[in-house]
Amino acid sequence: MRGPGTFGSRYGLTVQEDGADNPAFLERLRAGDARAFEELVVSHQHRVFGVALRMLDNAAEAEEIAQETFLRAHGSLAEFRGDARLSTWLYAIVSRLCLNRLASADRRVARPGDEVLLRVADGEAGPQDNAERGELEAALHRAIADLAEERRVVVILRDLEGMAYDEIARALGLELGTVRSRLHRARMDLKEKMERFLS
Amino acid sequence: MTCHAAREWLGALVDDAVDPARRVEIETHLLACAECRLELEGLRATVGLLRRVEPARAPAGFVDRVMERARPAPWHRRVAAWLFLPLSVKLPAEAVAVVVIAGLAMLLIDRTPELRDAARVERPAPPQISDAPSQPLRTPPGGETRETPGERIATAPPASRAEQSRVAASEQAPLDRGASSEQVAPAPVPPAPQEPAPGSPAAQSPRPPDAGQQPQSAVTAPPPRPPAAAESSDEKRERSEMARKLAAPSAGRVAGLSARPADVAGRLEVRDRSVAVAALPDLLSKVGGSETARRQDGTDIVIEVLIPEVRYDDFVRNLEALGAWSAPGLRQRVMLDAPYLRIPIRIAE
Repeated sequence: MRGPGTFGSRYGLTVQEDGADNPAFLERLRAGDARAFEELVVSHQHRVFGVALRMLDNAAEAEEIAQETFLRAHGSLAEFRGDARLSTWLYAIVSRLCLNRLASADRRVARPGDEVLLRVADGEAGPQDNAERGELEAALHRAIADLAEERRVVVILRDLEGMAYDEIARALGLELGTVRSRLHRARMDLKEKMERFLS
Repeated sequence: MTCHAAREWLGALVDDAVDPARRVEIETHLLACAECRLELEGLRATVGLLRRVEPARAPAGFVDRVMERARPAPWHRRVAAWLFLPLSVKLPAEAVAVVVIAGLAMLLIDRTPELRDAARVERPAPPQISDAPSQPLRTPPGGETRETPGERIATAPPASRAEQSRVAASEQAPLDRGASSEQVAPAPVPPAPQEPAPGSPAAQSPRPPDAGQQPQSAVTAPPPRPPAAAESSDEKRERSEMARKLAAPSAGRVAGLSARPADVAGRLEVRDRSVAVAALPDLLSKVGGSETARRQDGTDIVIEVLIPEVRYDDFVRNLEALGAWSAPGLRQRVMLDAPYLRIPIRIAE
């Protein structure tokens, strides 16, 4: 089981999550250092994009929202107090942008299946394993996409992005008990839909 | 702990996010409840599946695109973006700008008399104005047709409506306004025709005294100058001032001037009163004056006249040719800006 803040190696990032929060790095960001901002984008691009992709289920929209997330962060870096971690702050921005987009009436029609192209194939697995994995992941994606939005975002942040309960609560502006409750219901929904893969 | 309460905490138990005391409670319940244990196993398996999901990767070039958008746009792009704002922003802004500009223009026109006059609607000129240039000039008694500045200006018709408006404005404004306003010589306005007394010699005169019919202009005209001599600005101003003073008052101004106290009260003793009364209109026309009132006072006739101040001495000289003129002298002027003297002449035998 992975604890909070241990997902950095999962993405093979060159900049560790803990390193992004060091005071010198924050100071460079606040000072408008373009190189520091680029490092921030490099280190968090996949995670921010991943949240947007799981939430919106559309690669083009996900990139648009992910870019917007970094641009908003860039515009507010001078006011970033450092109370939360940078990653929590970015997750908060991308989550709210996604929820707003999902709530908007003019949301474009999702194009299921786009995100499959973005996944990296597992070179070590055989063709049969890849097929099974593809089927499992497709089922999981469908199950996640079918979740209610407020449950979907919690399960993505916790089970796909590995955020701690308190970080999720802070990012989404929820009570800790609400996070726990929504997460439990989301998992129960997924368990029901993924029953055949659990045996 | 009930099954319902225990299952609420199973997710947190999977995440190892339960405090020790509650963990003991949950684990005690699980030891006794096979269904909840089964539920916990299913939940663990589901979370396991979720954490096997391959992480998404941002598309190639994502960082470059973000950095490109985060870079401040060059000034020409910002200007272009401002120029091509969406209509929903630009139209209200332009409407406000139009209203503000129109308001400022109206304020400017309202504060500036020249612009206000120019903005007036052009109307056809009244017939008496269009006829004015066709009136023949009277030849001076000496037969000399020397053109004085006063005559030249007095006979020039108003060129346009705007010029007429300017003339009207200059008449309404104080006449002695200063050098700047004096540089614009007002175009002459024919004096108001006086209603001569029935049977008086003045009634036989074909037309009332007119500024354009001043034969005595040779008296006050400056000596002829060499044509090559250039006029200095002082000379122009002096000529302009002279023309302004020689111009006969308009009907409106005659009424205003007649209402003020007399500047000189004189007595003219003559041998034959009727001869003097008959000669007075000619005399007035010589000096550019006009008769404003006439009344009988016992055996005397009192005729009130308006005389250009600059021609007062000429007027007195001509009066003295008719009889004995006595006047206590110029009284204190009430309207210092008026170039005309109001003189009641008591004609007695």
